Order: sequence, then C-alpha cells, then structure tokens
Amino acid sequence: MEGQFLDYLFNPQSIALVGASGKEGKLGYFYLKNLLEYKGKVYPVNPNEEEVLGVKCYKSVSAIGAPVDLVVVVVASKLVLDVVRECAATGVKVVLVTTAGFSEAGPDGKALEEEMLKIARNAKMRIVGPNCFGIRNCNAQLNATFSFEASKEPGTISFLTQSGGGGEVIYIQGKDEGLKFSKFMVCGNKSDLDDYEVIDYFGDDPETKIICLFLESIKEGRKFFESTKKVTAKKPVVVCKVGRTEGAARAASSHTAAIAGNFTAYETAFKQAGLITTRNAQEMLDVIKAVDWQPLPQGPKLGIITASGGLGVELTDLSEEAGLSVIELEQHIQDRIKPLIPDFACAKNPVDMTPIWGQFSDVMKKTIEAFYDSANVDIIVPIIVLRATRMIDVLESVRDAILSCQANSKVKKPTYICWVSLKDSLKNKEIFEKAKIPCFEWTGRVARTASLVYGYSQYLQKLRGE
Amino acid sequence: MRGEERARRIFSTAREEKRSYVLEYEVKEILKGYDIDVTKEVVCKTADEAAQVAKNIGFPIVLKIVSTEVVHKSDSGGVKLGIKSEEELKTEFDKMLALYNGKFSADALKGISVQEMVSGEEVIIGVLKDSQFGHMMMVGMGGVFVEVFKDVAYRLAPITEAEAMEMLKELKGFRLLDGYRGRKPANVKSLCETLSRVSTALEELPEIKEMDLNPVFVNDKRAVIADGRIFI
Repeated sequence: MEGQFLDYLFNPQSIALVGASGKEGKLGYFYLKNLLEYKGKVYPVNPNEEEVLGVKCYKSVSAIGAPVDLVVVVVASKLVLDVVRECAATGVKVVLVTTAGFSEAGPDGKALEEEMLKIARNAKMRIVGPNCFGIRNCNAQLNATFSFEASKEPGTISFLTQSGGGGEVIYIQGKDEGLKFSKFMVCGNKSDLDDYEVIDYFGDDPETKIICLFLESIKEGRKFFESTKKVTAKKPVVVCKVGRTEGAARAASSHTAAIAGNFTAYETAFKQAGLITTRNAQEMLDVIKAVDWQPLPQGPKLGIITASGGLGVELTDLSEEAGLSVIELEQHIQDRIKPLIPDFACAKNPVDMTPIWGQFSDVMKKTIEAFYDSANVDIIVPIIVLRATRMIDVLESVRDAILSCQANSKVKKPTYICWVSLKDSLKNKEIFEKAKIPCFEWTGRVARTASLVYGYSQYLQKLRGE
Repeated sequence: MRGEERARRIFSTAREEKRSYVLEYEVKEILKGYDIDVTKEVVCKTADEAAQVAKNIGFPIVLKIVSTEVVHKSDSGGVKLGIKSEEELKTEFDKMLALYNGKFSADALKGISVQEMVSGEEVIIGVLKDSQFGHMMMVGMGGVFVEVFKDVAYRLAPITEAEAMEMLKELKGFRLLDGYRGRKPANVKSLCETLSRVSTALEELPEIKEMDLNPVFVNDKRAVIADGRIFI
C-alpha cells in the first residue's frame, strides 16, 4: 500500500518529538503542548531534559525503547541528519522535518536534503518536509504544528497546502467561518512526497468528503492528473495553484508554444480531471462552503429574489457572463408571485420585491417556494441587503423557508445568499451559515462560486452520461 | 512502413543533420504512417520535373521551398500559392530557385515541393510537451482566429474522437465548420479522426516537443494537412 505511510502520519500509535522543550516561546514547547492533546502515546525527546511539561523526557529516539510511528523533528538543520539516522535505525515509519534550511536555501541545503533522503530510502522510512509547518488530524485531536489553532470539532474537509503560512490562514479563516476540517497537511519541500500520494490517500479516506489543494508547484504532474481524475468522480477536489504568471517563459519555437501561456497545461489538466479551479484562497473557501453545505446545482438557471432592482440586474449580468443563465419564470409561477408584490414590481426573474419591508418575510418565503416549483430555476439566490440584514424575523423566516423546501422536495436546489450589510449586522449572516446556507458578500462572489460549482456538477453529469 | 518506424528514421536523419526541427515533407511522411490525410506533394529539382508532377496532381498547384535552412518558408518568399498553368509553374519554379540559389549549400537546398492546393476552413492543430503533464494538444480556427483571438481549445493527450469533438465545440469559430451562413458544413468527423490519430502518434513518439499542423484545411469532403513542423 503506497499511501500507508500517510496513515502512520495521520493516525500514529505513538509520536516522538525531537527537540521538545518546556521553555515557553521555543518551537519545541509549542509543538509539545499541541502534541500532548493527542490520544496516542507521545514521547518528548531532548538530551538535556529529564522532564518537560510534566512528562518524562527521553535522551534519544532509541532510548524510548518502544516502537515509534511518527517522529516530529524540531532541531537545527545541522542536527537533523543525526536524528534521521537514528530514526532509520530504530524502525520509525515517518519523520516529519519541520526544520528549514534545506533545498529551499541553496546548494548546501540541497545536498543535506539529498543525504537525508538517502538515509530514509535505505530504511524504507518516509520523510515529510523538510521546511514543513506540520500536519493535523482534527478527528483524532492530532495537532503536529506550532499553532494553537487545533480543531476540537471533527470534520470532513481535507487540505493539502504547500505553503505553511498561507495554508494556515486559509485553515483558520475557514474554521472561523464554520468549515470543519478532517486532515490538514503542509507538504513543505516535498522532498520525499508526491502530491498524488496525498490525493490518493484523501480520496480513499472515509473521513474526507472534500479535498482542497493550495499549491505552488506540482510534482509528478501526470500521476497527479490520473489520481485527481479518479478522485473527482467520488468527491470534489478544489484547487488553487498560485504562481501562475511567473515570467519563466518557455522557449517558444512553435506557434503553439507561443499561444499557450505558462499556466495552460495546469489549467488544461485541472479541467480535464474535473477539479474545481479557483484563483485565490477566498474563492476556494467560497467554493468549499458551497459544495460542503449545499447540494450541487443540477442546471445553470438562477432564480433571484431581491429588494434592490439594481443588484438583481448586476447579479444577472455577472451570472450570465460566468456561463450561467437567468431566464423568465413560467407564467403560472409568475401568477403565484404577482399578488404578493406591488403592481409596478417585477415577477419575471429576478423577482424584484421593491422596498416593502413589512412584507419581506411572506414574499420571500412564497417566492422561494415558487422557485422550487419552477423548471426555470436550478439555483436560488435571495439578495439580502442593508435594512433587511437587521430584520431578524425576516432572516429567520427566509432561512426556514429554504430549509423546509430542501427537506420536502425531491430535487434539492442549492441556495446561496447574496449578502450586503453594514458592520453592525454582519454577524447576522450566521443565522444562515449556522444552518449551512452560505452567505457570499456582493454579487460577484455569488456568480463566481455558482459558476465554479455548476462546472463540477456538469463534469459529473457528463461522466455519468447524463 | 508503420508511422513509428518512419518517424524514428526521420528523427535520426534530423539529428544527424543537427536539426531540432523536422521539415514539412518529413512531417507529412510521418503523418501518412498514422493514416492522417496530407496534401499530395513531390520534392522536385527542376521545372520540367515539377511540370510532370503537377500534371499528375492537377492544377491549381502550390510551390514551397524545401531547405534545412528555412523554417519559416513564407517569410522569405518560399511559398507560392494558386499556380494555374504549366507555364506559370515553370516560371515560378525557376524564380523561387533563383531566389534561394547560392544562399546556402546544395546539401541544405533539397528542392522545391510541388503540392496539391486544397481549400476549406483553416484550422490549426498544435502540440506542446509540458514538463509536468506531457503532451498537450491544441486545436483552433486558423488565420486571424488563432493569431488575434486566440480561439483555441486544449486537452492533455491521449484524446478520443469524442473528446476531439468537445474541443471543437469549445471554439467560438466552430460555427464556421458547422455550416455558418449557408456554407457547406465541413467534414468535422474527419477532423476529429485526424486529431485522435495525432494523439495516437504522440503516444508512440515521446520525443516530439512541439508540433504545428498549420494550416489544416477542412472542407465538406475531408480534413487535410497542408503544412506542418515538428520540433524534437
């Protein structure tokens, strides 16, 4: 089993921390404090300490005298090789090297990294990193990073990131917005790890329902392509590949090379493998919310209800530009909506309520129900702005209408709120988000997210021959 | 001879001659080995020989310079289209020969290619070998569509005929192939076959780094490659 070492990484029976420290402020202190939360055995290792944070400390990995699955290394780069050698000799399965100063730092570091790999390969031991911030398994209270942002709640989103800092920001921000993570992995220098191995592992992992990737480079692109292609048939894979515009221009001798930019091959591979390609972290989080919380859209047709005609038109434009459509509702559906709104208001789609705040609850509820009965609506977007964002009873009634329609209908229509509010009512978004109805600020994010998610849905439909 | 064998022989000749590119007539030789339709051509040394060949192929005729020193033929006056008679052919042949004679060694000047002239919608088929993902294929509507509008679609190889069809449908200019404004619908199926056969060739020929098949003419009867370059 090729991915088995990742199981040792995410579900180790025992972990040793080399460089453990009881001194607050030291990296070895933060890692230890986090690791001590883990349900498995944790052995601090430091030749100069008898005890750290109230736990017996060992002089070396071999002094532990019991099998160790995962060793986390937090010592200076000049000491790493000795530790790795010892790990290899004692039958450790995986070594996570957090230390920087390897291939990313120049030729000397590269030589050091190669030497480390040689030792590991001879012992059939695997290296994660070096230059790696760490990993988490939120479903097992494993936090092998120096950040205290552990996840107490179990989750189903697994995340592979090359950048430690960038990945951590996405993870914390996502968590703050209510996303629940399963596995989090920083791959650092990827010296002994190919991206596809992680994809395969997450793909087979029953605790992973959504995979997200934040990558600067991809190793073994062809295998990455084959693996993701297999996995996207089962679960969504959302990718953000940064470093798309770097100037490293290919020597363009042919016409074809001159037309295709640097990112074209990536873009082509992503699309062909059914990945959801996002341009930045914010888009990635929006898409994750949409696929995690809502059903996939079965078609491209938006049903929009708004109190602001202008924003309704803006959303229509952006949606159509993004490949979606906003088409007129059937007459019998319009006939159900018309009596609810003033004579001069529009029931065609977008349904423009006009500012009749007192009736918002009733109009929105009944319009959402009507959207459910319309063959011209696949995706429902209520636009909720300003004054309405302060009207708790309206928000709750819209939420309840959405939930009851989704619960009672055979076809589940994804619903995204387009939200624009002042600071004072921003947190009212949670009325929806706690019920797993995503709120996206401004029309652009709604259109973009809906279009990306619909793209994936279309890919699956094609795969199933629909 | 199978395409793979032909290609290997041509690639090794190119390497011996210290070329990283494969000449048009060689490209066509390779493609024929994969049952890909290319314009008929014979490389001739003299105007009389050319006249004989033209009689067999039938007018109108195209002349193209064949030299290991010339990669961009039309830029240097090495392409003459639409020759309608034997007389015109002989004049143009000698003119072109004079243009290049003495410019480079007799070894480098292989002759002038006498080719059948085809009409139809212009399409470009391209290939690029990416260091990460391997061969990537491109198809686009030719001429200004590709130059100005970059109206192209990409897929990683290998592709099936059905995938080739999807690529074509992604093109804004697809309507031109599909009977736009009373044009005769082009033989799109034949173009899809060509694309999938190019894909087969790529599977056997990993040494191909870049390839332009440009133009490819698609008319109501067939898709035919009128010019091509390969970089190895």
